[in-house]
Amino acid sequence: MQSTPVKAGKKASSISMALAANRLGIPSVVFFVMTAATPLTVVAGTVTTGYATTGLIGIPVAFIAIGIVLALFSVGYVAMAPYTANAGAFYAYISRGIAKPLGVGGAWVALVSYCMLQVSLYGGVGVAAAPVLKDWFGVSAPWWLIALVAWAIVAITGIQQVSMNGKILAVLLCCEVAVIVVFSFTDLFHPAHNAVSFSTLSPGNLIGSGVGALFSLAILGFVGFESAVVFSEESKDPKRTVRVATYLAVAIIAVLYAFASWAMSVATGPDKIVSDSQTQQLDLVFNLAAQHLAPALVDLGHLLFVTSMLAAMISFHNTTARYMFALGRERVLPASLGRTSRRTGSPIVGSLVQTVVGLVIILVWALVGLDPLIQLFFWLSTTGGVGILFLLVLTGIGTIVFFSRTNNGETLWQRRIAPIAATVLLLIVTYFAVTNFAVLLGVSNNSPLVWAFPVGFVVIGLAGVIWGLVLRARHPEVYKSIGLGAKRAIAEPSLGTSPSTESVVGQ
Amino acid sequence: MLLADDFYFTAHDHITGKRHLSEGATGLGLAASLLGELVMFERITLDRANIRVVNRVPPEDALAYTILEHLVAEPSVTTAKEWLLYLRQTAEDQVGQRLLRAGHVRRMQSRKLLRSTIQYVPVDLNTFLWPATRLEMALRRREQVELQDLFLAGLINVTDLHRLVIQGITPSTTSIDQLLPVLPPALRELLVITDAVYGDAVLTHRL
Repeated sequence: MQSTPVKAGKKASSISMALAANRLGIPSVVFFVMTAATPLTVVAGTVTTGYATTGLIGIPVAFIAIGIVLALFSVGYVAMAPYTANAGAFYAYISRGIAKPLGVGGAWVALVSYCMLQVSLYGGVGVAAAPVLKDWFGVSAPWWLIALVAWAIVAITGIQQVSMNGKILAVLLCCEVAVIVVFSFTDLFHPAHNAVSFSTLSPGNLIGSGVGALFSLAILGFVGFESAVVFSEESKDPKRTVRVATYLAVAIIAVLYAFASWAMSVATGPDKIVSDSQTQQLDLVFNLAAQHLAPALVDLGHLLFVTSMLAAMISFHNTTARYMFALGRERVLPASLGRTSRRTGSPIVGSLVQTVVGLVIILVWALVGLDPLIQLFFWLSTTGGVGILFLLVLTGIGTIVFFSRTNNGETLWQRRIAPIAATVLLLIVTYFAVTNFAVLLGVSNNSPLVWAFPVGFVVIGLAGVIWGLVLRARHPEVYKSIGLGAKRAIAEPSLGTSPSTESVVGQ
Repeated sequence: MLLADDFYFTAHDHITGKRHLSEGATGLGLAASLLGELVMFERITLDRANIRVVNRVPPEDALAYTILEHLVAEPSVTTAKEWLLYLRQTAEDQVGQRLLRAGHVRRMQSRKLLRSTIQYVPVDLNTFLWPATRLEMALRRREQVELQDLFLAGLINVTDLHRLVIQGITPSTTSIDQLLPVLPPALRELLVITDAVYGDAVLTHRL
């Protein structure tokens, strides 16, 4: 190799600088994760519906507990990311750590879970936007009509890749957080019975019955934290940026959600938070604020709630479409899913598939006359959250197994202690989540839904495993690339083999 | 015509000169073509995803020479991925200027709001249509394809451009998997890395 070490100094830095200018720092990655988390959707939507449906008051402390578990989980997860081609997708860790067929099962569960999270929001937006439309324009529209409008917006942005202008999203996010903080402090300054109660933050809530429902709800609030590692290769300092960004995201989410859900319970009083959530539903947060704040501010909060849901929908839509894209590129799903839109580079086929699923769900729920808030927004999102919980457990096991074979200077804490502790805790959380599923959905113990959803995930997962085994037997070239996502082709063994003497092809 | 010229022609409209692809995808395709030119000039080769300069004799083309000089001057940056990401930032303009010098395009300045943008407009639409037409005819007649066209076909496939510019070819015949075995290893590796960079860009919203 010929090289010129003399000139290296100055110019080499010019190229690294040109590349670095395009790379992401910690704030950008945290913003990306947080915009996907869309806090107002969780605080005003998931939390209030959660209080109402489960009848439990321990949601604030559950956010803290799950935040700690996920911070532990992130230690091994982030440490394994550099070894994982398709970082950011749980199934890639499962494929790499445990076994490829299990990875395919994980991929299918993940796809269904993210898909449920996305479509659930159509119910949420239908209910959340209705009062805004009525107050501002005097129009009363059925939820499904609003949902269809939202669906059309999501469908178009999914194809157009308006790439959800990062700056707009960041501004929206800051406004959402500001609204949450202002509303929450207002709640705290006006406590029920003139005493600030800490009982919803008491760890004692975590040993009561139905605690699994609280865990599932809290997990749901964190979904999206896993996406920071997508930027491993795009970040300024691959080792540090993603790690710090992930911890920061988990910490911010835990503190913000615990604080906001606690403040709500202070304003109503812990004794009335459940009944008030049941009667006022999505309006609770805004009604509480309206008692003490200017109406304009409450209106702004309402509007941001709607935009927050839209942003969440678009974000989950993109996640699902990109999952399908990665699986299509691997040929684990039909290759056409790996196609991109020529003009915009968005994963167009995956996007269209998700769009069709959304339409079908909205129409079915509307025609059957199911409740958009409980039976669409809450049921599907919490069930999707439970699916993510299964994936977290398998990914945790994946990191343990992986680091039992690989050691490139990771500490004992990264390789063993944190992953094992996190996985054990996640297993406990999963046990309670599944056994308390009836509490989560707010249905009786003998409802068929109690077993239908969890069993559904197991069936989908097993089907994926079987498909993985079929691939191993029938399509070894596809089997090899499971979990590699876009980097599929790099693993081809044909690389580096002896050159074909022909430089032309006769087709 | 050089490889990057052919990709430029194929990836831009033959009348208006506007891109068919997104800015990022166009830049990536052109960056890969520019590196591909140096591989075909036997100035560089690829070795385990790294670029290695094998011959420093200046190539005839000025742009190829500039890039070779740059590669030689920066031995600390070796991975093909980094070079693709770096070159893609300027490739479209560099190749556009090369075509301008050769008289294949005209420069047109257009004002949009406060920004003025430079657009390269085709002088002769046939020049722009020729590479894709040539490729399509060869594939249709199952003729032998020149090495340069083979790599071009691979790039068109990677960037999902083939559905637009090459009609009537069944996917199986243009699939990247089928092209790979017949390309020489260095070009094959370059194509595979380009494919991975493209896919990663989609997954990280950076296309």
